[in-house]
Amino acid sequence: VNFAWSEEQEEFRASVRRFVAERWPIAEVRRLAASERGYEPAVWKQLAGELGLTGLAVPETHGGQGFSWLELSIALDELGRELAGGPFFATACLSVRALQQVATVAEQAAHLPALASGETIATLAVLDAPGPAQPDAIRCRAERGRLFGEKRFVIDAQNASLLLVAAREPGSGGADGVALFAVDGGASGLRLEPAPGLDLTRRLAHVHLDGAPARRLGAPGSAWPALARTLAEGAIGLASEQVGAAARCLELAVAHARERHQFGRPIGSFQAVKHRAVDALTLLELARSAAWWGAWVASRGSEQLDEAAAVAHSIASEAFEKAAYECIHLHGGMGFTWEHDAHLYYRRARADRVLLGDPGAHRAELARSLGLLAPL
Amino acid sequence: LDFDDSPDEAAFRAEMRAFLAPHAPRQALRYRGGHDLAATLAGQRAWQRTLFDAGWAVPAWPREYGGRGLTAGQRQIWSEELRRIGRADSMLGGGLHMLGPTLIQHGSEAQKTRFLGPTARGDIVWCQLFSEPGAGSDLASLATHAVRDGDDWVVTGQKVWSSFANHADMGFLLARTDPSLPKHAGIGFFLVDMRAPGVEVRPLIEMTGGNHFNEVFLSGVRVPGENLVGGPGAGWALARTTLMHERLSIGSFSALEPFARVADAVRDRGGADPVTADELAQLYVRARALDLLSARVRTQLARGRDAGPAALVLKNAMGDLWLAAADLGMRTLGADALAASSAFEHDFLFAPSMHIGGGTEEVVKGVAAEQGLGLPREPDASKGVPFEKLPRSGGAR
Repeated sequence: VNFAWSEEQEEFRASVRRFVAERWPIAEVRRLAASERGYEPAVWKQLAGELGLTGLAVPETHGGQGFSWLELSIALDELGRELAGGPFFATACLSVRALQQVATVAEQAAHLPALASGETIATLAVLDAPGPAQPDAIRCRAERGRLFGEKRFVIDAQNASLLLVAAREPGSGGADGVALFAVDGGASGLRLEPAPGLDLTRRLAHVHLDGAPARRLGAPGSAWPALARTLAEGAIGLASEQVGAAARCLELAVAHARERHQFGRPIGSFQAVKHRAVDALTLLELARSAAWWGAWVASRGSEQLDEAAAVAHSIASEAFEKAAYECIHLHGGMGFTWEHDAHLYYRRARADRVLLGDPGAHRAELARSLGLLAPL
Repeated sequence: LDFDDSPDEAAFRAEMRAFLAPHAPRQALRYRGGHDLAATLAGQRAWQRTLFDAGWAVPAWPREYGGRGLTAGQRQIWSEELRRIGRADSMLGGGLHMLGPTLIQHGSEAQKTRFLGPTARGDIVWCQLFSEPGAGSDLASLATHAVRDGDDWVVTGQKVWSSFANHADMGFLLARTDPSLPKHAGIGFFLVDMRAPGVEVRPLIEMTGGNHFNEVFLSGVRVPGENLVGGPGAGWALARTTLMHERLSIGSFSALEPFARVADAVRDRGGADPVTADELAQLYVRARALDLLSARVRTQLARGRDAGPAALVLKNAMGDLWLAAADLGMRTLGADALAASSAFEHDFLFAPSMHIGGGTEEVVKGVAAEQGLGLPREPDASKGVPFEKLPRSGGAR
């Protein structure tokens, strides 16, 4: 039993923080928001190559660093602070874990090294649209090696040269008949419709599949349990990002409250201001504890995974939304301007809530598993 | 980061369980209203003695005072296992969780040797003598005074909200030793015999109908000089240590336990509607996260590190959780909540005290903001002003 990071892990955290502060701070994220890709290839190369972040959780046999989910969660937390990383979450978290849990060893050997090196940017589309993790939410069909259907709001699909797409055998229902397919970024029959919107700092696209050629990964028709695990892990990864971002929002708000003077004193000396900041701090510390535990559960592949995802994502969503709101509010009128970064966090916080299934859906599942829901 | 037991830790847990299985008290020692406090105390004392004799009473204390030199992980296991059997030491908490840690940090060798062992064994029951009618959230404005007389100090004043003072053997008391100094500077920390002449205890009945609290009147009470802890002006620094430990102790209550009581009631009634079920799940999420936060803080402290802002938000988070659990519990009962002694009546009536005792919600938030976030202190009109020159309200009623 040890609820603390090792010295090596703390050093790793510090090195990622330095890198993000120097090479991918929020000012850069803001500049890149207006660009086509949303990331700078040279910086991506450094993040993947020099720091080895994209291969953190990839085994050494497949060209990765061979670390666990714990180190991955540290990277997500640190990138989250500046809303940085671009396609990191989709590639190093979602796609790597989907391949590891669904694909055969030979298929992993074919794909993982390029993901680990950062050469391939990949993404994962399990459900037809973000929502509760139910297999019936997969209606895309796979027929004779071609995919048909639509996946909405796929993370970084426009940047991906490899799309991992869940589809089902025609006529199948429920968890049966679901498999994962690899689709090349430039495939015929694949149309990407960029979906810019609420969150300016994460690239989303709708993926239209009209007979795109696809290679099945793993065994036919039985990928759902592994994909459900990947989605739960994704929620835990998202919680790490949310905790980093929430911590940064609170730091910005507190720094302002210490500097800004009104009525002849720093506004942070007023109780009403302090108490708002501490409400955000309380949620943040709860969320941080839950996210660390979630990362550990994910690193163990434990049977508590669903519970950990529900707990971590639910409290981290609340913490990030609260901190992002307080960051605007405590900055006053300045916090409401386009120029200030607060709205970038506020937008991201709301988007993170629904990106991989709403916490409410997680909690409904939790209530059911705890025997708290009356039969209808 | 590892939430599993290492092989050594598994062996430690097994050893503890082997001890607890035959020795654990049959009935709950926890105070849940309506009990005979004297009987509760007798039960808690007997159990504490059993723990002490086996070396399990205060394993986090230094070895020479009954401690065990446990690792951070072992301490975590120790508290988990005691929780599992429904440990309760509420009436001994003043000594075990407040005075003990304060003495370990600030006491003289003689004071440690004399008091720590008997405190760990449950032989000395302690009460806190801090708050006064005129000094609540502004504790440092306290007016009870201690005047030196030869080797002794003579204490006069009134204390209030002293839990279990009517059952205590000793009290740890803050009194003003020099009113010509600013309020924080002229305070001493004394150890007072509750049976000394001049000590009068009057029980107060709380809104639950029970009696934790007391008023304590001190009229020319003689306290030997050797019972002053630290210097005559060191009291405020010591009080801060005591209060920090009090808040940690409240923050270390089990959060999942109040949830579990509500969940049991919900399941007994065949489950909840989807809206209420979501509230219950939210309560579970909070409780889980809070137990994790509390474990994280205790790990840091056991390693001798500053637990940072996390330690400062625990107490209020626990208060929020208890209030939410009591609310959901009462709602679960429906019209049965109208009855006397319903399953959640005590929780419901007790809950408001969580945000008052041990520092109000507002005071604790102020501490978290200033010490945890580095926000500037509120300007204090009494700063630097000698205590005797301060305008005061209601202190000497």
